[in-house]
Amino acid sequence: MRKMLKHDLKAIWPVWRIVAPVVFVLSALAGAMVGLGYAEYKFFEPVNGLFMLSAYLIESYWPIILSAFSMLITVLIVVRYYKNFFTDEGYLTFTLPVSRTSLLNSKILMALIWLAATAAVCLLSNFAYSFMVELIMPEDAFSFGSLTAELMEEIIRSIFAAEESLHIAFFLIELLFMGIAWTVASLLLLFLCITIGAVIVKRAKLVLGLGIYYGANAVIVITIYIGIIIGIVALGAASEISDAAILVMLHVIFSMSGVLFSALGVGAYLLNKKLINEKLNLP
Amino acid sequence: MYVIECKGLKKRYGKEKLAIENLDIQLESGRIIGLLGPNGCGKTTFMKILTGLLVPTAGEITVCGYRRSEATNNFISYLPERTYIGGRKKISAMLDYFEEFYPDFDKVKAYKMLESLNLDPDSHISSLSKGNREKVQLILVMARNAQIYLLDEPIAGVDPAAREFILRTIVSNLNPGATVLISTHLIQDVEPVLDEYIFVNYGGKIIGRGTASELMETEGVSIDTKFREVFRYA
Repeated sequence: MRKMLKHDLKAIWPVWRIVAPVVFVLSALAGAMVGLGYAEYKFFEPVNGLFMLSAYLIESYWPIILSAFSMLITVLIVVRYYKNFFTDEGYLTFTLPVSRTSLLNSKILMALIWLAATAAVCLLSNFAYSFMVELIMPEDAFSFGSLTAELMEEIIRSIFAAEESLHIAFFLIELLFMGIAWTVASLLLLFLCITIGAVIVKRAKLVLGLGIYYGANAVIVITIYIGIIIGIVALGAASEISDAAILVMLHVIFSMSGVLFSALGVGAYLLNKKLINEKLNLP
Repeated sequence: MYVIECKGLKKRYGKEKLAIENLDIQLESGRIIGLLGPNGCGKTTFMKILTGLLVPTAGEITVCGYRRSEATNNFISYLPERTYIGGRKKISAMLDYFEEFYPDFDKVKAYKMLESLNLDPDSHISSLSKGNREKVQLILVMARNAQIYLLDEPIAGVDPAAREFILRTIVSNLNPGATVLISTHLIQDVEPVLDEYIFVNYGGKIIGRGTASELMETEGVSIDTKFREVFRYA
C-alpha cells in the first residue's frame, strides 16, 4: 500500500511542481497588476490604456487560472485512476502482489493528498494576490485584501464575543465540514461511476463513467434544491417562529448535509470496493 | 505438491458465454507445459484467472499450496498477450518498479538481458518500437525468480529469428524447478522446449495431455501433428 501510494504520488508530482509555483507567481502578479492599475488610475492621469487593459485581463482571468489549476489536477487524478485500473496498464496493476482494496485505497489517498495540496496552493495564491493588492494599492481604495482581513477580524471577534455570535463560528465549522464531506464524496462518487462504466461496457468506459457521474450529480443537486424549497415553504407556513428556532434549524440542515455527504462518500467507497473486488474483469 | 491446482473452475462472461466450464487441472513443478487449443477455448481466461485479472464465477484455485489471492502473485510471473508498459518512463524505472514490488526480481539479470538485446536502460519506453517493448516486457517477466511463469502468446507477432531468441531467453533464464505454462498457436516453434502438452477445447475442456516423448514413442507423431489431428475442422 505504501509503495503504491509512493508511485501514485510521484505520478502527479512532475506536473504539480511546475504548475503550482506558476499559479502562485501569477496570483501575486495579478495582485500587483491590480494594485498598480488602481495606483495608475488614481495618480497618473491620463490613464495608460495598455497597462489598464493588462491589469484588467489578469484581474479578470485570475480566478479562471485558479479553477484551471484545480481542474487540471482533478483530470490528472481521474486519468491516473482510469488508466491504471481499466486500460492495458491494469495488466501490470492487478498482477502485483497487492490487494485490490489496497490499490483502490492508494488511489483515493493519492487523490485526497493532491486535492488538499492544490487547495492549499489556491489559498496561498489568494493571500499572495491580496497581499500584493494591499501592498501597492493606495490606502483609500477598495481592496479585496482589506475586505478579507476585516472579515477574518469579524469572525474572530464573533467567536469570542456575545453568546449569539457563537452561531457564526458554528456555521463556519459546519460549512467547513460540509465542504470537505462534499469534496471527498464527489471524488469517491466519481471513482465509483468510472468503475461502473468499466464494469458495464468494454468500449468508451470513461465516457460512460463520466456520464453516470454527471447524471448522479444532477440527481443530488435537484434533490438538494427540492429539500431547500420544501424547507422555505415550511418556514413560510409557520406563522410564529422565533429567530432562535430558525438558527437552530439552519444548524441542523448544515450539519445533516455534512453527515449525508459523508454517508454518500462511504456508500460510494464500499460499492466501488465491492465492484473492484468481485466484478472487475480485465478483458 | 502441485504448483497449480484447480477444482470445478468456471468462468462465465455475462449471462451467455461460458469461457471455462468445470475445469479440473493439476500442474506439477519443474515442467515446461504447452497449453494448446483453438482460439477462444479459454487458455487466456485460465491464465488471467490465475493472476487475478479475472474473477472466476466458481471453483477453487490453489497456487503453490495457497488459495489464490494477491499474495500468490508473488509466485507467478505473467507475460500477457498485450503490452502494458508505456508512457514516458525509462526502462530503468520499470526495472526499479519491479524490484520494489517483487522480492524475487533479479535486477542484475535484467540488465544483462537488456545488454544482450542491445536495449539501452535509459531509453524512454514511449520511444521504443512495439517489438522492443515486448522484449522489455519479456525481460521484466523472465528476470524474476518465480515459481510459475505464465506466458500468453510470447512469440506471436515476431519474426522467426526473434522467436528463437525469445524461446532461448525463456529457457535459459528459468528459475530451476519453476513451472512454465506457455499458451500459443505456434506449436512447431515451441515444441522443442516443451516437456508436456495440454490440449484444451472450447469451454476449457481438457481433451488430451501427455509428454512430447510419450507421444513420439506411442504414436510416432509430434505435438504439432497431433494437434492438427485432434482439432481438424470438419
